Amino acid sequence: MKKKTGRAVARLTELMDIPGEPALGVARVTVTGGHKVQIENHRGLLEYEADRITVNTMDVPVRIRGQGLEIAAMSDLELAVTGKVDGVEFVR
Amino acid sequence: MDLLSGSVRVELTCRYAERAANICAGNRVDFRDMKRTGENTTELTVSIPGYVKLRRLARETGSFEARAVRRRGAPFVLWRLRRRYALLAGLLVCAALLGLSTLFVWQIEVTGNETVPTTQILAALKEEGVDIGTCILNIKNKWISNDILLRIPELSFITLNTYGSRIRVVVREKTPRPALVDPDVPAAVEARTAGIIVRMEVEEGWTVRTVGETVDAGDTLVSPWTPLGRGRMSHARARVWARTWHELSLQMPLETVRKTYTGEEKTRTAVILGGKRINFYISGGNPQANCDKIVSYTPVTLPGGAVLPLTVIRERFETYETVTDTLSEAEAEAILRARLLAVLEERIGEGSVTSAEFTSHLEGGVLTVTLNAECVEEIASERLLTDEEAESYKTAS
Repeated sequence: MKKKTGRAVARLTELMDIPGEPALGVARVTVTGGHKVQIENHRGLLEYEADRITVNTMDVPVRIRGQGLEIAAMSDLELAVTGKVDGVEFVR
Repeated sequence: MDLLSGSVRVELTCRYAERAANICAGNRVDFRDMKRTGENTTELTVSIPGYVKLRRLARETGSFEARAVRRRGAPFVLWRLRRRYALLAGLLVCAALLGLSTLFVWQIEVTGNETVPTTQILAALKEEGVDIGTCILNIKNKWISNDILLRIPELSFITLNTYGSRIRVVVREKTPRPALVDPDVPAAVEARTAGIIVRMEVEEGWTVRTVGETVDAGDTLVSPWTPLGRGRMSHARARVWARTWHELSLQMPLETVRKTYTGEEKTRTAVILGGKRINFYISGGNPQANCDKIVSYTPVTLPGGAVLPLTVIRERFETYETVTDTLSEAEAEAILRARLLAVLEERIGEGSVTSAEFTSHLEGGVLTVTLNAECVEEIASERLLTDEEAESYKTAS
């Protein structure tokens, strides 16, 4: 039932051409240069090492690879990672 | 902000740092600068309420241990100073004085005036009781604005806007009404000065003098009464140019006294704080008889440009001696000639000097220079007439 409702909302937001993250709670990943990654609507950390940080989201976990990675700030809604970022990938 | 509200650097001891981070985020304990410091230790920075919550979470969950490694900010400084009562009392007094000072005017800024001097507006405000150091609560904008408009008739609008301790006075000046010529009022054109008419441009009225005639000061050049048909009374208007002659004299003693500064200086300092002058010297008046007093007022400003209610006054006294100089006759004559020409040019206005002749004579150490000049200038002058005067023009024709 919940899955059906989610699909309906996703379809509706697509039809109305409005951003999905406020309505659906999907993650929004913002990469600034090669030194900062900001993730909104995260669901917590799955892995935290200096060379990789994996963040859980509603859809699919996001892995940030790099060197000297740090959690610059974290709240229940947002998370910011700084350091030398080599790549950002979805872990499917 | 951290320095004001305070922050705590916490060392978490746990095997899985991500688990501790998730517990924090899930319980709305926001943190920053999370960094691994060892295999089982991680450091992060939280606020003071966050640290209290974090300690409680550590106890309740047992997943990690939390230990403060560094405390920063004003709350911790104040906590350390809690037994230094004099210092705390000083801080409280400072805070009270700072709060109290916001109730008084520190700066008055006047904008929008072009011809009315700022000093005149400030003086009028002072008479209304608005000055540096005035309590802001006593300023009644409406009444003061009305009174200022009555005091300075050149202003059409004034308002006082209060921004904290600063008052911005916005004014608007009246547009001067142009002088209107009433065409129904009879007026005659008369000669302002004696001369021989060389040119006439009559717009209205009956010409009673012609080019080439000699006129005296006060003679009628254009009459308001036109004796054609049944006759008509009008407001005569004309421009009349004439050859005129001027004789001007100026005198100057050849011996003059001038100041020579000896280099001896004395400086006194005072301050104006909140409208009250505080002197940093004991005796008043000039310290010596032969000295010039130069006063400079320097308002104290902050790096951002904000003016504090503190003005430093420096009074510098420069001692001088008087020395008698003797000018040569030629030097004095050159000075007087230049001054005479300047006086003549001011007298004839837009007219021109046709010829100028100077004569000089020295008597008793005083040089007298006389200028005899021939000029061409406008001599027409309109004069409004009373009913009796207008009637006399009618009967005279």
